[in-house]
Amino acid sequence: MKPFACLSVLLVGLSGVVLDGAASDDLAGLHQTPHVRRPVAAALYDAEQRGRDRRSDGRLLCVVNHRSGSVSLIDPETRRVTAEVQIGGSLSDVAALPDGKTLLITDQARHELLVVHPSAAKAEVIGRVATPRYPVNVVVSDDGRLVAVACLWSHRVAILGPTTNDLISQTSQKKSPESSWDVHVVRLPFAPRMQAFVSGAALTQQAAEGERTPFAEDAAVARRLVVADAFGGKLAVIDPQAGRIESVRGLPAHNIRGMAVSVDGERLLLSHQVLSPHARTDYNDVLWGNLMQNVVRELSLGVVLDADADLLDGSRVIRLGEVGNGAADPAGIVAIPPQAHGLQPVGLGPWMVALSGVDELAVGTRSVSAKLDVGLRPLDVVWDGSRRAAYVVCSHDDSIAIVEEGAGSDGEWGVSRIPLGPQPAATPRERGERLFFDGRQSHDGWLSCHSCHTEGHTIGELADTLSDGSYGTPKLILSLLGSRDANPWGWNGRFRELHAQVSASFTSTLHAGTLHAPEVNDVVAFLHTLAPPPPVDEGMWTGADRAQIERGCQLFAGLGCRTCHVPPLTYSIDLVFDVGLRDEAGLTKFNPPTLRGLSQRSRFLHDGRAAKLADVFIEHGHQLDRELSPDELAALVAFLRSL
Amino acid sequence: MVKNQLQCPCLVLLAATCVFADEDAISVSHETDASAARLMAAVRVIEREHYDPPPRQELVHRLMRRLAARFNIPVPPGLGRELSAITDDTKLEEAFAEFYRDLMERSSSNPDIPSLPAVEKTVLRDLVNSLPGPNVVRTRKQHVVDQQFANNQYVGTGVSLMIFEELPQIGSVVENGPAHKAGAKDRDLILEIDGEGTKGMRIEDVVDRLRGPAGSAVTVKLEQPNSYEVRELTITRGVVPLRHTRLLDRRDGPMVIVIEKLTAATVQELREIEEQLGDSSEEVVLHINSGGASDLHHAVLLADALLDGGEIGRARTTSGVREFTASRDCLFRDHPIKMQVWGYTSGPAEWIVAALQDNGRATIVGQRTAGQPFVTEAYEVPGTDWVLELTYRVLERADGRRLLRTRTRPSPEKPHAVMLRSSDGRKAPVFVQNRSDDHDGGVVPDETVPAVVLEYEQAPTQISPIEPPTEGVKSLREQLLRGGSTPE
Repeated sequence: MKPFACLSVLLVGLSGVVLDGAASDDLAGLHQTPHVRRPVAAALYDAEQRGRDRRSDGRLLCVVNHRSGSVSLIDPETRRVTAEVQIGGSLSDVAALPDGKTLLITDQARHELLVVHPSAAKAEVIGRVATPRYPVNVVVSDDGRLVAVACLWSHRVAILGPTTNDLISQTSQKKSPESSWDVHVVRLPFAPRMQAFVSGAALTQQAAEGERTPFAEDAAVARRLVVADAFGGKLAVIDPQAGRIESVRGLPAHNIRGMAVSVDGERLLLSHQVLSPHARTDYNDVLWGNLMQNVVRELSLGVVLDADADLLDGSRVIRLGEVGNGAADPAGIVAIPPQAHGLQPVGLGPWMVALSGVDELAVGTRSVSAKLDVGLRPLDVVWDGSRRAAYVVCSHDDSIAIVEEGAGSDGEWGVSRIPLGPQPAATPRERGERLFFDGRQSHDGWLSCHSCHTEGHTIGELADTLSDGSYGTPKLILSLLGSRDANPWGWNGRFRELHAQVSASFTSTLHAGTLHAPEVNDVVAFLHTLAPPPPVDEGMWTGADRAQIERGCQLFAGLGCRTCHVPPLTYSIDLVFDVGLRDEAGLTKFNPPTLRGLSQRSRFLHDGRAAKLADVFIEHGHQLDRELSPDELAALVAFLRSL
Repeated sequence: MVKNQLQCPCLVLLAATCVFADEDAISVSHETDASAARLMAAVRVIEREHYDPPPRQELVHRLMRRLAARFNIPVPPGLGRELSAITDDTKLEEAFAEFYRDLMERSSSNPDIPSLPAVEKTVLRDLVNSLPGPNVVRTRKQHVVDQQFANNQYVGTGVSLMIFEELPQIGSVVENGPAHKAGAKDRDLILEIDGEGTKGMRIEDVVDRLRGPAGSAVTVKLEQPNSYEVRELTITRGVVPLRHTRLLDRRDGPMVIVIEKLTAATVQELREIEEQLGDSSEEVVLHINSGGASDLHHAVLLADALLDGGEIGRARTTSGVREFTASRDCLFRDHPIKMQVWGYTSGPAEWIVAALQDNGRATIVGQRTAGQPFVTEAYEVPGTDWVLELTYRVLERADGRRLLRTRTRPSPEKPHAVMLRSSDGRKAPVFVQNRSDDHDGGVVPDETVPAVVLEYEQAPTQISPIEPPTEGVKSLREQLLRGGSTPE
């Protein structure tokens, strides 16, 4: 944990930067210009009256676009895009403050949190807050007193307090803050994404008993921040006032892409996938759901907040997929008030979850009651209580689907679409991207490439595929980020061409049938755009850190590591080696994986037997002809983590 | 010259006779050598893949003894010693081939000699049966069907068959299967298959005619037993949705789940049952009706699905041991589980029971299991139509404790039965009588019970009203049974 003292708010008196230098409105008609937007999140706001985030009775919808760095402002009443304004580099999430007038938007490319005042036709950036690198998610506590920003590749969460109202008043008055306010930066043992502020009765009791907090004005606040792993199944609980991690526990889960608190406040809903450690990627295990399950998991909040409790106590799994319709890649989830028409108020009320791999929205309570076709790759769902409608952000066709109660021909749910604007003809990269995230490329839509290679990275688990030529030999799922030059491919180096690996994966893992050559080319084109992930501590190294890294670099050379892990591009080589390891089928020669982005991996060696990077050397003596001293080991690990 | 000329035709005739006679002999010799080669190919597969194969010389010795028995020829004394002395594989194979040829020559005058294919099949089956564990010889066609059943992907029409008054009859139609969708009903008599009358057909021939690749069609003429209405249906063959896991509807007592057969679909079927149970947390009684050989992979999936973390167990082969650990997700998390076992519970089912017992996940009820924790795998024999299902692993508990029994003696206890009884009083025995042997392997139950009787609700069968035949019209069935041409 690193408290940032005296972090100043960067004031921007003018509006955000727009493409053609115009002000905060859409004078250039950006929403009518063909370009790729990739919307990823949305929030309701009301320029005229108060509302609450995500369950607001606000009237307008703000959609943040990842690729274009713009926001699309939508009037749901007229179902029209009223404006599109480019305000950043690569927008990743949005949350509304309780006043309903102000939005907080994360910019992943510029490492900023934008404070935005939107109206029907404008989006005025009134402030920018520097965050740890790669912010991807922002949440606001119900009372608006705390903001949390999850920063993916830097493994950090920034918690802003004591009150965002101060932030707003200072920035809206366009004057420097008289006093700085505090930000807790919490370092996590995983890459974070989804978050939620939760409160518990026990916590309230503690607060009532006068437990002191560093935020002097927040002595009565009783809440915690729950943060989920972006790739694997870890869940952290943080005391936001103290900036302290209370627990980090694991779930049998990966790709946790949706998190919501139930309407009754008693349960935490997570949408995620489960990869069986024992299943194979053969047709039958895919068909019967043995390989991959797509679920909503209900956790008891009391258990979540009890650091000593087993997270699975009192938990329940709702299976979204079934034979014939696998429901790949569940994403954004929202809990909706149980009074909604047609939905029985059973227990904790109904929910909606985006099935991003099969372009559907699932609705259910104890089980799935409906699946509705929406747009391509739905990621986020926003519930509008005043209209009894959900807005589904569909990333791959730049659209919003409106799902309304009673609007269907059978009196059930009706779906209509709002395109955010014209799109240009898809490039090979974009066609390949579509195939990569399309769960319908697999038999019955159980999984997509993204299911195991999240956003091109890895979920850090083992999979028993035919890539190594055999079943019964599960191997660590490799990251595809930065893999374009890391030939050959596969743990046994079986594939000399990336095209061959892609074709084999679609056929023997997804069971999509044969992918045609142009489609393989498109997927390869997409994979070629995936850069290696940055080191966790990029931009945070001190002088001492750099000196240690340099010592590690020299050791790396001196120990002969460069023979197989050749710098500088991939730290790999186009050969296979016997390094004293053996798999279940007797394979002894392995393709050295690229070392780029090593700090972003959770397990090492072909079967993940090394839980930590240091274990590769301490427990498995990987290619060492002598023992390393503690200092040497630390330096070597520091260097490897800097790649 | 003349003498020579006179002699030549005789010589030619003799030579010709010898050539023809030699051709027969050569042909038989070739066939025998080919048969010997196939049997040796099977020996090599056994030696390589079986978890505990006898030495190759012993395998060949067994083959020779069985061949001799089939040809009613005594085994030469000292044969075993002679074979043991042969350490070169090529020489061993030559010795076997020579022995086989010799047997054939000595039996050539015996009119009762069985055909070579029949001998080959019988001898191989005897050899495979003599190996430790459950081992079976299948044809490739049979193996394909076995695999389809194991993966719950059986392709066909989806009917069970019997013979009724010289005609094949549908015993039951699988719900939502191809035949069901086409309109076939339980107890339909099959009068024609693709235009061919079925009177007198063996049931195997009916099966062969009804089976076919997915997407292909078969046309049948059907008639209910008490009706004269002939229905012509075209059935498009496809995957038949079989269920091998049943939730028994009990009038009182805990929910009973019977896993009749462990397949790739078992965990999915259990998920669907779990969903039916809703929010209850009542006890679940689980019964795996699985003996003998099953797929280890499916057993691992099931064990993983039932356990909330912990060690599952170990699988041992000649080359080492593989350990399996369960993940944290589990079915019936809030339900106490009772697992019923009995003396025929064996193979991977026995292993799963042990895993649940060792992890405290279930109370084991019944009788000591069989102590035969074998797993088989199918291996094609190159150059033949055979697939050998061989015991290739022995399963153990996670801590290495043996499940395999080594000592057996008959029990003085009377046999018991596990039966199901329907609410209308009919008994439907599910399992054959138990023989409770006393041995040192298997899983000892936490609670020993002599017998279990389960009752379930049986829905009464609805029979459609009978339409009287039109006067003067002969039914197709009558014509088939009494002869005459098949009417259009």
